[in-house]
Amino acid sequence: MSCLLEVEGLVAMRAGRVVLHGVDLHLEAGEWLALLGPNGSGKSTLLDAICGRLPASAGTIRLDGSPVSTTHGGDRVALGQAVAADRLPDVLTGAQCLAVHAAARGVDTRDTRLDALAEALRIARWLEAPVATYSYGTRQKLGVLLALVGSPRMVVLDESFNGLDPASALVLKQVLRERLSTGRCAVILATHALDIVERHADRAMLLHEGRVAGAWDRASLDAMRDQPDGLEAALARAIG
Amino acid sequence: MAARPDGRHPRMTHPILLAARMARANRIATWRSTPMPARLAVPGIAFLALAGTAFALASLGDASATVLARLASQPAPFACAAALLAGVAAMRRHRRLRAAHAVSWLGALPVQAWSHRVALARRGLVPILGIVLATPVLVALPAGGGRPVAALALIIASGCLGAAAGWWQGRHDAPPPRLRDRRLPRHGTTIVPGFEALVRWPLAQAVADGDPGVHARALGALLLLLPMGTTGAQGLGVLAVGASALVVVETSRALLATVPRAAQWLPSAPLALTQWAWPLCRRVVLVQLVAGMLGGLALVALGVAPGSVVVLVAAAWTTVAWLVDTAFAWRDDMRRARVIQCAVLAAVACAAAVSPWALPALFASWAVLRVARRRRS
Repeated sequence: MSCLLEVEGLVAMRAGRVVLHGVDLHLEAGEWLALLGPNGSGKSTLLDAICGRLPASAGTIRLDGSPVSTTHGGDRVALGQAVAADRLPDVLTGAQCLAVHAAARGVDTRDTRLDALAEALRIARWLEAPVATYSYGTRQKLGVLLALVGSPRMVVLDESFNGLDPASALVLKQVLRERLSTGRCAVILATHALDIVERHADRAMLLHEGRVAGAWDRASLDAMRDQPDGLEAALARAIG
Repeated sequence: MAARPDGRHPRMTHPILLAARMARANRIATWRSTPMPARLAVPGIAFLALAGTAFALASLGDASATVLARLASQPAPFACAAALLAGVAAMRRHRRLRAAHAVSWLGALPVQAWSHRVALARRGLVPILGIVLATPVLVALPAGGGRPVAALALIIASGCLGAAAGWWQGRHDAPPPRLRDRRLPRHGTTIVPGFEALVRWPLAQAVADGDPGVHARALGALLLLLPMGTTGAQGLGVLAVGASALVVVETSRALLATVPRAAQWLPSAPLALTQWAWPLCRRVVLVQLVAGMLGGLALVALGVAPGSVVVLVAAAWTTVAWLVDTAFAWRDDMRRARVIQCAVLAAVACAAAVSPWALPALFASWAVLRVARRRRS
């Protein structure tokens, strides 16, 4: 496996306040990293910086060996970030949103894998309706579909399982696992859902007050899963 | 742009422009599917606005000639003011578009930087350039012959240059909002009772969002427009009018930002309209009344007829009240906007008593309220 994402000494600010204080992160192709942490710990800021939405005040972010830039969007062709439910445009239809993302990536709007995923997530029949008519869960599904347009090598999900019904959540986990099994892409997921971390992630990283406060590999997660309080207690201990 | 037969979109179309085009097409389709009376409301309002503009322009024949005569003799201050105002508008618009794009659903797409800049400029700079071109033309239209073409061209060129410079300056982020960090407990403070926080919210928002640099430039542009030989007292009067206008504009912007947010989360609490809408608006209303009175007094001191001052203040208040009313109406129940509607009608009636100019505004307000009600229903 090759190192797909390298983040070194990342410092990032929001509204004049330092949110990330020198975060290091390495992610290899085929890996699923779960990003954990209390509210306001910097998870979304880290994901935004990785996706080039937020400039780094210090440190480097490299995707596939190339620096990720906030100004040269063409470098981000390998990145697919799920769109938050509240950021989707109400006036467009789901199909139009997908068409816009496909146009930006220069790929075919008729992606059979994406169509199949839309069917499996039971969103296909909604795609011709305006986003304004969607429920929260349907918006989340569309946000995830947008992240997967063009089969990006780095899939970035920020609490994308929130609001999904159990069957759709299972489908999404299976699809992500299937894509990871090719060894071509990697997934980074910020979440509070510990069951996903314990059962599906290859690694977990805990952010607290903008710093890495803990990290666990698959073996550690497996070991904790058999304990009565498991990962939950480990997180509480790490945060103090 | 339509998809090609193979389902691909041309790579050259920027996603921002493509999404805007699709949204426009969807809005037109929605408009076409509405019943005929509601469909006619939009062109009706457009017609009213055009008729009002034409009426105002026709009445401005003499004023236009006076302005053009001054412009021909002293084009430089007008040119500087045009450059400053266009620059401020372009800078703010560029910053706003960049900030909106950074959090938008298109923010993380792989798009080349030059293409992104072009798309933002097409959305942001072109309308400002249109205003820069249209304003001198509209001012010069009512005058007969002898238009100072060279002076008008100079103003348009200055406006364009100012807009370009402002746009360039807008590539940097605005300073962070001047919100105080209240996360740390302060000694001696207690939780404010009742709805005191709601009362303070719009003004705190105005202070946080307001940019003193922009205000200074706007007032500077206003001073540049003063003719040679203006006394210090007159200059202070003009500054007072400008500052009053800025207060009204900034507090209105803040109120328009807070009303939809409040309407999103406050109705979930067991509160009636008067329990949250009035506390939210009352201090802004007071501040605007004081600012309007000070600005009106300054205008009277500058020699403007009191009747015209009343019309001007009533028009400003009507505009603000319309906007706030619309914000309430689209976010919540129309009944919740009744108080504001009454204020609008009172202001328009007051203005109509002074000048027949207010009549088009009366009709327009009625049309806007009708459309708002239809949209709600």
